[in-house]
Amino acid sequence: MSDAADAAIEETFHTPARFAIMASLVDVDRAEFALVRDAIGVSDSVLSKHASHLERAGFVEVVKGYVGKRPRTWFALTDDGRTAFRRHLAALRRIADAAADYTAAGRRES
Amino acid sequence: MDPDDARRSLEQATSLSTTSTSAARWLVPYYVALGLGSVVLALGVGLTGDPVVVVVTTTLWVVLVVATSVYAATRRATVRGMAALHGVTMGAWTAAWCTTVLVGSLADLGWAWWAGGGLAMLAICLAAAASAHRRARPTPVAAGAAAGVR
Repeated sequence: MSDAADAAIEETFHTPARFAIMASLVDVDRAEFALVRDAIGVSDSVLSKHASHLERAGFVEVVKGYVGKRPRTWFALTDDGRTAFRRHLAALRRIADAAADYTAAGRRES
Repeated sequence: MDPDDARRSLEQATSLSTTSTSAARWLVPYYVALGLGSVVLALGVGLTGDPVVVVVTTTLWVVLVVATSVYAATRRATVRGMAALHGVTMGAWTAAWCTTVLVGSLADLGWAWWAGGGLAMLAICLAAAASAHRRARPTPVAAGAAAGVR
């Protein structure tokens, strides 16, 4: 792994559920609890636990409210969270591309 | 990190982002409905001048606004920058509506004025729908484009 990619990898996102939560939120303003839960395929408690961790890290904002009389929970990325996750994705892309370049160069030499 | 793991993570990110942005695409038909309703409202209010037609048209407009508001409140995701987009759109729509009604009431400019006002409001809503459509797409970073921060 290159030093640049290494530096951009965010340890917080190594947990699959946290990575999935961030990926679900990165391109929207906010998303409802049930949408994220169904998209990433985890239980309510697992989602709550990892969302709380991301909230404490300053990457996710949790907003509770009501639609009519029904309580709803919304998740949104903070600016820091969005920036950190995009850097993380970019680092992943560099790792994947570097491996592809290495394989292609090996094929040319053989 | 293993390159295959990195690739799998990127594919997963793209898939999850697509799911969320698809859920946020409701704003497109929302603005189209408001735009079409605006044309009916302008024509109904201005064309005949018949108080009954004005009352019926205005009532239908209120029903449309309530229905779209309930629809919006129950959606599960919103596009990025929705508050700003909606604020600008509603500001422009209000300016167009007030201009249409004020000028149309003070001067007898005929059906073309009211139709023009309705089309102006439709254009504002369609521009907002196009913007919402552009925003309701996953970022190209995960799909393999430039690795910058948007």
